[in-house]
Amino acid sequence: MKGFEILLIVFCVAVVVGVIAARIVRKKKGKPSCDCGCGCEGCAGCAACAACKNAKKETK
Amino acid sequence: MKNFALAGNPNCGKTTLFNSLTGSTAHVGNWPGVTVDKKTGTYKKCAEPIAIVDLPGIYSLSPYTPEEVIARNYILDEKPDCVINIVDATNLERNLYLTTQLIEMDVPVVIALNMMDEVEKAGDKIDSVELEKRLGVPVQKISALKENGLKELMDRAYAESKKTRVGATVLEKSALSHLIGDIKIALKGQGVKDPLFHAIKLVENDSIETEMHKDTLQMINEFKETFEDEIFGDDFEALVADARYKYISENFAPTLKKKNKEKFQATRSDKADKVMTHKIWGIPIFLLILFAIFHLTFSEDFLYLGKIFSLPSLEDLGFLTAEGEPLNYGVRWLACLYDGAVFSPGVIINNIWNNMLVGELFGWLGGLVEGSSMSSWAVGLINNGIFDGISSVLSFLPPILVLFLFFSILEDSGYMARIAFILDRMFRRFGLSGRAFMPMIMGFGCSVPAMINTRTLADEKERTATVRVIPFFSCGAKLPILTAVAGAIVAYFGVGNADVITFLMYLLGIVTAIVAVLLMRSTTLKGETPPFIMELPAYHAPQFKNLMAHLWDKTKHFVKKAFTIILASTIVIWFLTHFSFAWKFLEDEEINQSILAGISQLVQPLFTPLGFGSQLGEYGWVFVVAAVAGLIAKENVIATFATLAACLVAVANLNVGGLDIAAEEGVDAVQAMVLATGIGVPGLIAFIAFNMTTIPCFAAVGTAKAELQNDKRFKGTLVFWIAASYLVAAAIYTIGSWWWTAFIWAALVGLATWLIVWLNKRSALKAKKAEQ
Repeated sequence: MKGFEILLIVFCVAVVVGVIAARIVRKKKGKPSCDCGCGCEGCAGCAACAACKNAKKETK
Repeated sequence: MKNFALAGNPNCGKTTLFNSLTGSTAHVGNWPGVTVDKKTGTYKKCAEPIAIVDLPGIYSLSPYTPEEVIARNYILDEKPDCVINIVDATNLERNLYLTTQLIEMDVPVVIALNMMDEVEKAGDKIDSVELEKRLGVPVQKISALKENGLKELMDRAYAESKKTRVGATVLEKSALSHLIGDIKIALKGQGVKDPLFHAIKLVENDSIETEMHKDTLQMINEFKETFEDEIFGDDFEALVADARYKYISENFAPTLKKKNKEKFQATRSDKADKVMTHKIWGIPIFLLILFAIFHLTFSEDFLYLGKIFSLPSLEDLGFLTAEGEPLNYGVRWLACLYDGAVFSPGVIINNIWNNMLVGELFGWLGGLVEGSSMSSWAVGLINNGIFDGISSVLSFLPPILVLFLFFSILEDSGYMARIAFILDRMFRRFGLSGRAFMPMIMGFGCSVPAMINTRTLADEKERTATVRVIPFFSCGAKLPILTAVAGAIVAYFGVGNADVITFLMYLLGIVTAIVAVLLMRSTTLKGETPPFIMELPAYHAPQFKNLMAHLWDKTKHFVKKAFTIILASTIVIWFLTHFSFAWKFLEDEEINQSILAGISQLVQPLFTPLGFGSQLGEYGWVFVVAAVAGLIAKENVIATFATLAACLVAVANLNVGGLDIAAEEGVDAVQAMVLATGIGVPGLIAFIAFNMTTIPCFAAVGTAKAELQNDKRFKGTLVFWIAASYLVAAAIYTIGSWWWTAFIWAALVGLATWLIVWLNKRSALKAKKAEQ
């Protein structure tokens, strides 16, 4: 196996693991995995998205 | 850092001001209720940075809606250094109602008289100096849209934030002043902050306050027993509201000098609304506008000029080689605009993007990889797995952006609000108010913010029904599925037009939503339909800056998604289709022995009634894989097609012979699927319908779970999505394949309707008996 092919495998593994890990980290931070294309800053529920639980507590 | 809050009525321009001050690109819509929660940003042009909080639009500080609670709690609990109250100057009297409540809090308040450009355009004048004197707080004229007076506003707010302000009320001379004064003293004695505000709210019987100050209630009730108003009796809430309005009309309204003193003058918006919101023509006009949008985005025969004038194709003109390729570079460009018909603007942009830019780029990159000394598996992974997957998704960026440009224009112009008004009449019959239509419209963009926006619906059952049907309003991510499959139907089978098919599929989503709502509101989610009151905003020309901000945001996230989750998914799918359970590498022609094929073939029979199951033969499982991959993100459906099509092209050529489709773009990929599996038009339409109505992407599912706040209801929602998509797709496939099954479906619908009516009657009878 050539060096480039090893790099390719490492890259593919990094992308897959990175995407999954990023989602887990975001979830642990209380942020949803909002890959909706709506754009978090542009989203009507922007703050609710970022701090959903707090907002709900306030509403209650 | 100082902290300023922006508060005001819905659609008074808070978010526009917020964006201007902070340089943010928060969503601005010309309809009330765009912001359902608070947003924060930073203003950096003062002596020190200032945190700006954009609160949702509210009419009062009474806890009628969640937005009002959020805004009120924020001001009371977080104590911003200054509240900037944005007042729509074109609607002064009504907007000042909230002002009279804000100034009762012990917080510095500055009034921003927004939309002054509109007031001046109408020839009216507002004496802001006099208004400032009467209100007792600074008043600054601004135009958030044109960014006039913003520096002065912030300087004045900054100066005010350094001072301490004690609340004042316009109710001082009302009959209730003694009661308010006594409660205020009592609360002050208890160390309550903002005693004046709380005292007035207690007089109003505000539910939050009565819960908070139970000790004071007895004193208040004793006083109230001795008080009786001639008009309002003991309705203290109405009494306070009336006193406020009276004070506003006597003291503040005169600062507005109208050019035309006649009581009512029909504006251009009023005149336009006579046509656009007409009780008979309103819905046909809406459907016509919707069709025009799809025609401008997807039609390959703009205004049907090609058919009307029988225009010659590029081949007829001799502009193509014997192989059907353009003669030269100039003809390649011409082919992006014309071929036997003038293309619509959306198709022209799409062709330029795909044929001249993305196609070229990925073709060049693919050539580089092919020409390298890498092993065949590495070439396959890069070209078929990574490049085909990403390029197929990116190829749909132009139609998505063009479609959303048109939707943004509708929203920014104020027409979206009219749609809610028009549809209220129809929706009401099915158990939803027009207000529920607002989040549904947002669903055309993305289900996630749409589901969050359902917080504006006060009725819990109405909210649940709305959350459930939002995914039926096809979001941007589903557009590639629609476009690719519709394109393949037109290109391969020569059936219909892409714009008509796409338009009809969008309509199918809306109709499915209506039927589903009707069923839910008649059975499990029964309830009264709340009244729908909404202020219709004035029509105005869409703002270029807003439109560009919307499109930029869409582009940014679409591209980001293509290079993260879509890339990861295509890599995984490529690996699963190129390795067997024995961990042996498989060539493209051997994908039927792959791990993915093995798993998919197990569940493939489940999709037989939908037209893309066992009847499709050995390669039919690819549709199952695409549908399941769509659960991660809907763009994955087409990315999966492209990755698998690269393998199936070889299979198709082997099986069909002679047909060569380069599966670089979505439409080609679907054609390769058709060739390899033999799926028909009913199966393809059923496939679109299934993807449109089934469980949405993970992000939307997560949002639904968070918003429904009830585990049982959430699980019910998942079952509902699966059942709805299965039934809709099965009906389309069976009716499309055997027309007479329409009668069976009609009988089933009739039976279901009868059952609902019977169950309703039975439960009504039971309730009656229980009452007796």
